[in-house]
Amino acid sequence: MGATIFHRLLVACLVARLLVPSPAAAGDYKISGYTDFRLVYPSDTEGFLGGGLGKARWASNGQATIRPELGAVLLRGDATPFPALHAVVELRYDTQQKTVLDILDAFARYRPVSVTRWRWGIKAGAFFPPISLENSDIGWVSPWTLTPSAINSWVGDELRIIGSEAGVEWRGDVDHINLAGALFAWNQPAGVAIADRGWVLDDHPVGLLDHVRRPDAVAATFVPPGQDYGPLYTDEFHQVDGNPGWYLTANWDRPDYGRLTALYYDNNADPAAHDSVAAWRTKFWSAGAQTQASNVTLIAQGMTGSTAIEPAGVGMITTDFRSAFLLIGWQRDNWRYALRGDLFSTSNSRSGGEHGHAVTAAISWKPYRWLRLTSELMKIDSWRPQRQLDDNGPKRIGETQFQVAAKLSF
Amino acid sequence: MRQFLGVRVFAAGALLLETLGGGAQAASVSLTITDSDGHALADAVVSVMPVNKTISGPDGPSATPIAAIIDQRNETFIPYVVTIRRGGSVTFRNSDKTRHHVYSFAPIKQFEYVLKPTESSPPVVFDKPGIVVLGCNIHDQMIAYVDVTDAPWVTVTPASGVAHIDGLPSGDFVITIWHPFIRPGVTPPTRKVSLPTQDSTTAVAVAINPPHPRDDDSGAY
Repeated sequence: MGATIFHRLLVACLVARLLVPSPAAAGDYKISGYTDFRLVYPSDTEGFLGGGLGKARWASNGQATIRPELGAVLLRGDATPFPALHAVVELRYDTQQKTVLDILDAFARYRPVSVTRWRWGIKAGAFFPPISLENSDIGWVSPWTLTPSAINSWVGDELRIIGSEAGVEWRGDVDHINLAGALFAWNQPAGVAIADRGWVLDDHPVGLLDHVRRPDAVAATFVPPGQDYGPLYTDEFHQVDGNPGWYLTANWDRPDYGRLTALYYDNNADPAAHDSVAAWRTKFWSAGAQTQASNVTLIAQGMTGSTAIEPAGVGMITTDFRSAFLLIGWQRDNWRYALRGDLFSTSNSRSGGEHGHAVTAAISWKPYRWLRLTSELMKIDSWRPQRQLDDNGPKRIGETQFQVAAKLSF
Repeated sequence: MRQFLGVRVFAAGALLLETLGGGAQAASVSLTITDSDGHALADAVVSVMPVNKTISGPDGPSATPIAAIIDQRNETFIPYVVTIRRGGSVTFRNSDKTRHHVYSFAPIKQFEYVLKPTESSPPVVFDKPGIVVLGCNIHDQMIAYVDVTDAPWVTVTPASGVAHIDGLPSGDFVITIWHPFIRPGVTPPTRKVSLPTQDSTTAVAVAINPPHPRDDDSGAY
């Protein structure tokens, strides 16, 4: 692994070296991005990216030692061909995806200027649903921690709106209200990961060309007992039936209080439909709040929903899921400090579901405009009886992941 | 969420710097504006209005600027706050390499211009008093304020937070302080001062909300 990793790091360095000196903007087109190097002390449980039931991105299967890794190389293009139209595409290179380059999102927003209190706009393409109050930086990463919450990790891993959103804003003297709705398709397997592996905490959102690895404990159920099985993957961005999904969302902003947001999502899939992959009927409520007191920021989000599948001859299998987190962040000059607590659970009559919690602490320093250094400690404690099917593992495990990141932006 | 804007008013009486029309002796006021932590506060609008309108009223002589220029540079409106008298104008200039918008949906003035690099707008006349919030429809983080006023003497604090207003005649005045971060719905602080007078120090506190610091790496999602 070492030679491969170092080879890829070398490629990443060369890419970054070529890109950093280039001008950030030319006319109405802008290229930006970053290279994110890591030193990680991984969880000692086989992680979900390797077919295990661990919940951390960086895993070691019992042999945890400090090692270098590549977080990602991110390239973003912004274009404003005319004043009302803004287009964005984000490409990523890293060592944990199916293709060398993947597309995180690609969308265009048309929003004419308005000199009244009302302003409307539409967005079309492939984009993240407006759920996260954490992931505001380019590359859909959080400015507070390296690893987003369980909720926003799941949003990154399974959800992408491939469709169109229409919205209207009302801009008062103090209050700002935003209402929007979307129709979308090609995301009907969404729900398979949270049903099969439960919640995870990772900063590796699945790209549009990628697929998700399902746990080996699930892959084993697709072959007769005792037979070998290989890795089992599912494409997330696939349409099975003819039903479009939809969501509705509302935001309320007031500068002296903060922001409230709510969203209802339903991918409207027929849980009995399948072709090469199965459709999962996934629907949920999401709500969030953010406020600021001096240099201290508080962010809270909650989510509750379900995903269902109905294989022929088996009947409906429903997984209910819920999670919440509270993040407190403090910014002082070039330093940021963040502490977040996550609670999560699922319930499934067949697999037994899971429950757990995570605590994440991060310190970040930005000595130069182009450099941010971040260290993050995350401890996850989870109970999941499905682990007994995986070499009779323990139901309850505790995981610790520590990492230091050097992010070079351009 | 809330900080307090501390306003110290140093009324330096009997500073006979110059004469205002009519041969009256002129005085000056000096104000140091800070937040609750004692940090100097830039971009506060300090307005001086005579109580007795016969000294100088909205329709009388005014030292308030009649015109201003707001530049667009590094995706920022510069300056952040300008003040002009009622009937005055502001010209907008784009010094960036990218296109910008400048628009307002304020009740007292609605307008919009798209400015190409190096381009300037025609002077935009503001004929009603009040606050106008400016935005760029292309870059949402770009915000600026125009204070359109009837006050004959107005200034905006620089980074030092210190405002000097010279050339005031003798008489009673009301000094009003406004800042974009003042909490919505809160009445801006005012102080009364009689000129000429002995040196005095006054403190006023109002709640303000500094905006969230913008991250250089933030993206539009």
